[in-house]
Amino acid sequence: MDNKEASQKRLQAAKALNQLVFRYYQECLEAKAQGKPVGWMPPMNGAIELFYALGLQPVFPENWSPLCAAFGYTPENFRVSEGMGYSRDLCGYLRNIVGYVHGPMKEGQWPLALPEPDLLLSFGGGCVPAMKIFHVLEHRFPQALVYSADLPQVAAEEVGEHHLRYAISEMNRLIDFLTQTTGCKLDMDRLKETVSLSDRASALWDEIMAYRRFVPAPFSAAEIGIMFVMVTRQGTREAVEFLTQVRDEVRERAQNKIGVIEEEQIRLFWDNIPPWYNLRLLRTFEKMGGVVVAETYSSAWSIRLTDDDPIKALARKSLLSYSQVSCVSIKKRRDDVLRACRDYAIDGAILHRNKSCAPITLGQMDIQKALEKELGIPSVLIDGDHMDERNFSRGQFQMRAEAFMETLKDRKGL
Amino acid sequence: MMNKIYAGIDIGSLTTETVLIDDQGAVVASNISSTGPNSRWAAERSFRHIQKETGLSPNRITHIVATGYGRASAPMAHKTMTEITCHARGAYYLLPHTRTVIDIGGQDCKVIKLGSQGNIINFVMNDKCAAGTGRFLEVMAQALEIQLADMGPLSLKSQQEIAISSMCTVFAESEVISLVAETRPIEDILNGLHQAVSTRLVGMLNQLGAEPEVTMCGGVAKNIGIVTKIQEKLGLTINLPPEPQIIGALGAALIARDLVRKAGTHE
Repeated sequence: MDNKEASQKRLQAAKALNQLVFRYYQECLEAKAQGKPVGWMPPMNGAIELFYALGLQPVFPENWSPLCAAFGYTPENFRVSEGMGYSRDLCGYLRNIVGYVHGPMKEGQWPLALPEPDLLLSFGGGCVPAMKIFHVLEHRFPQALVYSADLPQVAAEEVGEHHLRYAISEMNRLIDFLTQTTGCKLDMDRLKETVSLSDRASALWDEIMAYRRFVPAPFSAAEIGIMFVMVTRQGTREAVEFLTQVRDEVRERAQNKIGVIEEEQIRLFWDNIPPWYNLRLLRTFEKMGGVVVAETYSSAWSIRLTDDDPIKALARKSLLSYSQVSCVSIKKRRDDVLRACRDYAIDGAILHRNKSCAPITLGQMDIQKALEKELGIPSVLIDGDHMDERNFSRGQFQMRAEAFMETLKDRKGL
Repeated sequence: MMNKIYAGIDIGSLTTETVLIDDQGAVVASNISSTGPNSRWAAERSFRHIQKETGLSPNRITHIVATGYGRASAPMAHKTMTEITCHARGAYYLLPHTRTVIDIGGQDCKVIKLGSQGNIINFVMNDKCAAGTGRFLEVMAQALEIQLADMGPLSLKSQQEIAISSMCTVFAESEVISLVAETRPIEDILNGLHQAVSTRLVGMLNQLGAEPEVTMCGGVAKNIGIVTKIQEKLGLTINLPPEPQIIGALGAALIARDLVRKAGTHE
């Protein structure tokens, strides 16, 4: 009953998203079958647009991980990687990918799968596990050709001309690598168009996020899966068309005051990556009148590509992407959370103490204190893991979530 | 007009408490029993006992609020509230100067910061691990073959504190067994255990910016060794309610009364 009622209030675009996810992974497999070069890469860098412009097939193992979590594939992947000696204290994305490529992928046991890579691209500049995954992949797929850049990890506000020059040279080196190894020619007009589509998607993303300032919020963090296109489809018409559909629906809902639940009483912020294996957990708050209207993660996708030179635009994006959320100073993390809490009229913040991601979890104590001191916003720490359900306790979550909602409602006299 | 009776049931991981109060908020009866393997049975059993003790029929009880980990399993409850809210309500009711509530229960520790009206400002809880909780102390008492109730008084006789480095229940138990094998005095081992538990708790108090007065409830508040350690670290005296274990159930009963009164004013 609860599920039915809740789903009726969800975005219609969520249905289109399911098809889009399935189509993308089918496309990856078909590309391989047709002999199209397949490259595995970390998300959030300029190689995505380059791949689409060259007609190559990009695959994102990091995106595959949340999908595995949602489909219940992770226990098997973790079993394999832990059997190889990988510690449970390591990043869940890393353990999942390592386990997948050494276990289920070889056996082809699931309907959805990744095609083997012809190319492996590693950029540097990201978190350590994101780079280490590619070290493992090099050993697992020795036939794949490897491109490895070492972009510096620079705070967004510190990026200088010399960083940009270096990133452009690395981008040109990547273009040479891809054109020489695959025989594809780079059409600059096509690249410009791809970059322009990517920028359009970012602009739409910003617009969609801005509608969440409306009360009631037109959609919640439970539907943040729409960012799938920002990870895998940047630079395609498909992404722009999908986001336009989302924008239109969200705008209509905002204007007509259609929220996620019957009566939005409490507006919540979610800090850190959500538990991909169970986004339904957010319904615990919804049943008590609370909606998670904003989260840390969504700001990672807002990178506008406004440079006239598309290669420069992609170089800049590659420098900026990781310093949006996961590789930032504690001060920037704190400032970002506080700004979001102000912008979205937040009543309370949920700080997900994520065992799988130390870089994002670091600084949550400072964030908690700053929220209370500077904005008078209470917060609750929820222990968990964005990938590994074994690091999550349902009973503890339920108690903390309900106690937090009781406190917030009492504060508002509800 | 007959005095109304309200009930609060706190179904915790180790024990279940039921408290009955009257319209004036006075405790009419209370009951503490072990939860056992089934929360529903525990709630029913505790409720049955208190009815038998007081001779009150179920329909004499105007409103019932359940709390604790098993709160959803109490079939007789009209409403459920979390133990954070109930402990805050119960502690503030008994000791209105309370601004910080410590509750160490069977499987978690909570620190709750209160405003001057008893409103909850914020709270923190231990992480997923149950180290330093009532269950932790039970395991250690078993390892040392002493009664839970004797842990506190015995630890106060310690001449030397032994550092217990691990807070993991399993590892700490191994450490304790090793210390027993070394024939170290039980009093000193207990002193070390209490030191470890209190250090962890004081870390949570600092995290929240706890302010006096501090009131402690939950079963572990009966352990004078831990209470003493926390007092030493905080440099202040901790309030201890006469029966710290029933504060959650008392808070639930008071909330039951609040709800009835609120509904009455709306009629």
